[in-house]
Amino acid sequence: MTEAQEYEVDKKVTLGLIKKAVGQVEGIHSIKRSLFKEGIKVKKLEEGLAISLELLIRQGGFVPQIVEETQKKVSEEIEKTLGTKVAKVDIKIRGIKSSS
Amino acid sequence: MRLYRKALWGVGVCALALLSLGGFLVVVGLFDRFVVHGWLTFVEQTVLTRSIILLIFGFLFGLSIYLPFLTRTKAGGSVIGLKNPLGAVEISQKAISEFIQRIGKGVEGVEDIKAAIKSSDEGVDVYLTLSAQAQGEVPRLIDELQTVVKTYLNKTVGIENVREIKVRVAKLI
Repeated sequence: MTEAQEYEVDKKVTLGLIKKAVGQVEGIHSIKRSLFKEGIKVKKLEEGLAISLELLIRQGGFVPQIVEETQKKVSEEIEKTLGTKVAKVDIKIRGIKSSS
Repeated sequence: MRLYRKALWGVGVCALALLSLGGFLVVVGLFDRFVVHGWLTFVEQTVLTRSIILLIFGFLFGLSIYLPFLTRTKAGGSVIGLKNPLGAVEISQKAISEFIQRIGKGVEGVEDIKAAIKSSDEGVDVYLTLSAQAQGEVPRLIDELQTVVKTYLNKTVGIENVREIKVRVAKLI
């Protein structure tokens, strides 16, 4: 039997995976950015990672469906790639952009 | 914005304007700096006036620290929460209002529209203020507008508990 490996993952890697997952959701326009910060927060809790996203979504889609798809994609991507459990993915929609 | 916040902003802006105007007048030479110096020296001479001035400047200093924090909390804005088992979901009221304005302008006869939203435990209330074309039938237009907005909130945003959509016609063009 092999011993459980201990490793650390750089925060940049986690952020990259989150961005990749968000980019795969059709109804998402972008992650909200301001002058000094990007709309992604990651916290380590006992139950797993707590991820908070600020998003701009595209006009036309059903918002609850877009949100659920984003939450699932982000959780799956993190859990599959890093093997880290995701406790929750909180989403704040900051704007609705027209598709054009 | 709450009344006390308005008052604090008013005091902050007036103090800043007075101080910058005073500095400007002194630098330009319209106001002698020795007069300012003399006035401050005079004010400092009695304990009571000194304490009052100390309080005023202390208050203004506190205000200069508090106002940026006030702006920071305001930047998040008010939000509407949506039910979701995978995490908290919030949608900013500003985003919804902007979009309501956009779809409202698509209704025939609407020239301009402003939207505001209030959310409480009982449901979501929408307030629309519009400028409409005089030749359009206003009751039909309002009915269509309410239907469009309600459908949008139900079917696109996922807000089921829309309680009321109040429309105020501010202008007929």
